[in-house]
Order: sequence, then C-alpha cells, then structure tokens
Amino acid sequence: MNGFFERVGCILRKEFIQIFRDKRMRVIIFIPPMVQLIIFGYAANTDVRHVSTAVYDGDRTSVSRELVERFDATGYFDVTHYLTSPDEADALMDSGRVSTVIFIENDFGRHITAGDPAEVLIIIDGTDSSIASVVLGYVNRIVADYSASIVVTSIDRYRGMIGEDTPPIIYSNIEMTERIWYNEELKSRNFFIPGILGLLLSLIGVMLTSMAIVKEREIGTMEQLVVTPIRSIELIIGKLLPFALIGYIDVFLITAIATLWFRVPFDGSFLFLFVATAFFLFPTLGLGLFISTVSRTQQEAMMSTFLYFNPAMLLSGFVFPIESMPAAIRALTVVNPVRYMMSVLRGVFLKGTGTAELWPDLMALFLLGVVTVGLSSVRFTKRAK
Amino acid sequence: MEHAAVVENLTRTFGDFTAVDRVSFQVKTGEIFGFLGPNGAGKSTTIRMLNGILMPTSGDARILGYDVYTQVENIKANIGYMSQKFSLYDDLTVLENIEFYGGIYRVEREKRRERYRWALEMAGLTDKKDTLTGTLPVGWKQRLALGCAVLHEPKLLFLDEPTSGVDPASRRDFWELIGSMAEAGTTVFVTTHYMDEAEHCDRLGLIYKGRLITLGTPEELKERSMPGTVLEVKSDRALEAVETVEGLEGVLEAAVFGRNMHVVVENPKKMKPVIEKACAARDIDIIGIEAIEPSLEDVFVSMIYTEDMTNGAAD
Repeated sequence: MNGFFERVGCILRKEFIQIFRDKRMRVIIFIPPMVQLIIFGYAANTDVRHVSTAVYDGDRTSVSRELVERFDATGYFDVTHYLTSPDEADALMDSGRVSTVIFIENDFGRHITAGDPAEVLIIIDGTDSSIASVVLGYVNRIVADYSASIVVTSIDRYRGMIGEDTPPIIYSNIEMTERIWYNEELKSRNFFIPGILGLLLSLIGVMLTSMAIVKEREIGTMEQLVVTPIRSIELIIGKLLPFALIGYIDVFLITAIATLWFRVPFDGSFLFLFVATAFFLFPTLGLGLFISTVSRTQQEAMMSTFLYFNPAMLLSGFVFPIESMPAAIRALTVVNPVRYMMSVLRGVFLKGTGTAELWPDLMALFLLGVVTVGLSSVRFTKRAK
Repeated sequence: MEHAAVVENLTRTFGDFTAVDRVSFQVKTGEIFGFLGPNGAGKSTTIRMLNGILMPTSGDARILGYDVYTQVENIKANIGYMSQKFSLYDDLTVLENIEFYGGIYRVEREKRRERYRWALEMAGLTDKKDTLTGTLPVGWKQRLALGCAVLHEPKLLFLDEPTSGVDPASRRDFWELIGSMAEAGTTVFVTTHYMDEAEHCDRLGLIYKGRLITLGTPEELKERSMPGTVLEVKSDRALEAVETVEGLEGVLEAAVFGRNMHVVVENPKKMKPVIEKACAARDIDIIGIEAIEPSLEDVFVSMIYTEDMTNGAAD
C-alpha cells in the first residue's frame, strides 16, 4: 500500500481538472441526460389518447348517435369527421388524417329495438401494431359496455310489459373490476424514465471511460505513466472513479427531475438505488476499460462503445419486453448488464422493491463486473509483451 | 557502482522482424551516453526495453544494478524518462503538470516546493506557471518535459530523441542543460539521429538495422573507424563530381556534404591529382582539395556503408 492513496489521489486530481476544464466534457455530462429525459418524458409517449376517428352513420337514429357519443366521451377517440358515404373513408385513412373509422349499418337502430343482432364495422390503422392493439382493446370495451346496457334496458322493458307480479327474470353477467399495480395510471413515461437512467449510465460508463484511457495512449502520456512507479491497479482506479462519480451525479439529476417534475413515483429506497448503481457501474466501467485495451484511438473506442451500446439497449427490455423475445435472443440478454439494471430501476421506482427481491440482479451485475474487470486487467498490463 | 547500465545480447523481435539484435554495451556512471542511428534502427526499442515499457525477447540488462525482467519497479523509481512526444498534459497548466509528476514520483514533501521551483526556473517558465501547457512553443514544452522527468532526481535519465522538432537555438540550450545535469552526477542515456549532437556525448554507440555496429568516444571513433583519409573537394558541381570519382581506383567512398564533396581515400597524396584530372575531363572546376578531420557524420556514413557491403556480401 506504499504510496497507493497518494498516487491514486494524483490521478484523481488530474482527471477532475481535465474533465471539468474541458467545455465539451461539461456539456456531455449534463446535456444528454436532460435531452433524453425530455424526449422520453414528453415525446416518446406510447399512451394512446385522442385517436382521430371518422364515423359513417348509415342509421342516423338516436340509438346510433348514442353509440358514437360513447366513443367520443371516453377521451380515447376524437370524432373528427362525419362521412356522407362509406367511400370517403379510404382517402382519410390513406392520408393518415384518421386512424380509426366506425361504420354503422343502415338499420342499426331498428335491429336493436327489435332485439336482433346489429352490426358495427370498425377499421383500425394497423401500421403501428402496438397502438392498433391498444385501440382495439378500447373499442371492444366500449362496444361490450354498450351491448350490456342494451341487454339491461331491454330486459327491464320486457319485465314492465308482463306486469309487476310475475317473478323477476334472472339474468347475470360477470362484472370485472380492474386493479393495476405499480404503475396505476399505466403511463408509459413512468416506465421509460427510470430506464433512461440505466441507458445513460451505460453510455457514460463505457464511452467516457474508454475514451479517457485511450486518449492517454494517443497523446503518449500513457507511455510516460508506464515508466513511473505507478501500478496498473492505481492507474485503473484513478481513471475509473471520476466516471463513477459522474454516473452518480447523473443518477441524482435524473431521479430529481423524474420525481419532482415528471412526477414519476419513487416507491423504493434511495439508499438501495445508490448501492445498486455501484453494482451496475462495476461491469459498465469494466467494459469501458476493456474497450480501452482493444482500441488504439478515441474514434475506435467510440465505435466499439456503440457496437456494444445499441444491442445492449435493444436487449435490455428498455422498449421491447425480454419475455417476448425468442429463446436464443433471450439467452443473449443474460450477459447484458443493462438488462439487470432495468429491472432494478423499475423495481425501485415503481414497485418499491429492494435487496430482498432484486438480489439476483445485483449478483448477476457483480459477476459480470468480475468478468469484465478481470478480463481487462489481464489485458491492461503496463509492460508490452 | 561503476556502470549505470550493463546490457548483454539484448534482443527484441516483433513477429519475424528483429528490431534489436543481440546488442551489448555498458553505460558508465556519470557519463552522457549517446545512442545514434537512423530512424527505425532500433534506438527507441532499446530504450523502451531498458526502462520497463517493453519486455525483451532475450538477452540481459541490468539498470542501476536492477534486473529488467524482475526488478522493474526498482528501476522505475530511480530513472527518469522523456519520450520524443514530450508527454505532458496539454490541458493542465505548467505547474499542474509538475505537481502531477511530482506526486506520482512521491517527491519528498520537504523537498517538493524547492524541486518545483527548480523545475520552473530550469524550464524558464516561472512567470508562466499558470499557462496551459498546450499553448507553449515546442522548445519550452521540451524543457518542461525534462523538468518533469527529473523532479525525483533520478540517477539515470533516458532521453529518447529529446530534440526532435525543436529549433536550433533551443537545441543548444537543451544540450547545455544536459551537460550540467551530467556534471551534477546524473547519468544520461540519450538517443538521437542528429549527428552534430553526438559531439556532446562522452561515449557513443551506433545502432543500424537493429545491430550495434560501433562503440567508443567520439575521438576513438574518428580515429579507429575511418578506413582512410577524408578529402574535402570544393567544386562548382558537387553532385557530378561524386558521379565522376565514384569507382575510381583508390577511392573508397564519395558523398555530397553540403555544397562540397567528401572523398575517402587510402592514399591522399597519390589520389589528389587523380581526382583533379578526372574532374577536369568532365569540365568540373575544382576550387580546392584538402584533407580534413572526419566529422562523426563521415564516420557513420562510412560505417553504415561498410556494414551494408559486408551484409550484402553475406546475403
């Protein structure tokens, strides 16, 4: 330990001066987190509301109007066009001005009052399959509710017709009560924002770390450091710690904005988030270190970072659920640290879970950390063989 | 200790290429040892094996009594190294660079302040200690790099092409600095491809194509290594003169030096008229011919020539 802290301290001091003196670095540390937060907080919203809807009402009775009103009243559908002929629908759908069309048959009202089956045709724009399936769900609910209400009224009417003293007609239906846990309002924002933390930490951890080390090699100071008495481990620690700290700054920044501005629920403990971040930074910085040992220039380091980052993001469950991936791809996600961090982050933000539930994820992160840091330490020998 | 460095049969290969081939030499404590050779001859590779950057393929070397294979940490604590890139941090100020290297080398606390002031003064940067290093001219960076390399008062200082890219005036100042350090007791191992700088060294080794072809003081080399006498021929067309005398019997070698021609001959008395006659036959005006003391450049050109000839014959 002779001189260990002194030398690590030297590297740390130098790194901090360099990082905070560099205008570009100051921007890189604070701007991308903000931009991503704004994008995912506002723009990348997969909540389906205010779907532009065209209606062809061939019936034009109070019965058909009631159905249309039910659509409009939910807030999910905005009836923007009333068609005079069914053919008009094509152009509206093609141009994207509406994404849903409701066709009501000519004798809709008469069929309903007669107790006959009545038909409604709904056309949904299926270009974005996830939106379409959400819309389909709404449609089914609205139509089912409406049918049920018709059954109830017609039965009541029937009862009135045969007189008060007859025994009541028994009818039953199943009433479903919905309870959604964790993200009660089903806001996609609540789902995405915690995930952004994981992505940003990966990017900062891998890219900035690898570039900072490769930069020393590029300008020749690495060779100078090699002939000093500094040990590899001191150099590695001194180079990695500042980026761990930047990672923490971003964690605080994003958590604060997410909870205070975007009102994303935070049900877990901050202490756990703090600890889990360390577990995640371990393999992430290790990977940055590894990339630095295989890249000769900062450009190469940046390329390698994205070679890792894009698949890591896609295979993390950030957007696409891991459960619905084919088995072979799912197997790949096992070695993806971001995947574990996603479940940790969503757990701690939305479910309020902690070590008791998430320890397997922390263990996986720890193991990946041992592998990446171990692998790069072997490669990061000071003396060239 | 009599020798700061003892090198025996040191070899380094990169794949099929032998960068340094069984090189042996000794550096005496307190001397300035110059390692000369053209670019790519193996100078830097040798230095990098001696200071622990590169593992030797075979052979032995002891630096300050420490083995390069096993005692590299001891070596590093006691040597200074300045590479041809002047490895400073451009985005740190002059003083921050000094403090950084002083901290890494753990210069004793009581001495620090004095050593830092010394380094600033030596580099002539006392007024500019808060200037960003990147904005300094090359000559100043070079002196700052030297200052950083010797903060911990190393016993042996390695300088790898310390004057590349530096203007002549700064180069002269720099060599004065090296001289004063050697006087103060530091052993200096310096590589260069500038032949004029070789004159500043106490002893020289010439490395060519990975092999050490000669070793000695500048005087010894001039006496021992030249196979003949150098005639300096002043003429109006040096290039054509070289073409003319090359291949004449009794001419060992001819080359252009500046505006003149240097001809190495075995017997100057006999050859003078022969050269004059040959040149006159091609209408080249000869202004003067005289025997001169060979410069180190003459010596090295001649040695490299001989080396190529013998190797060519061997191949």
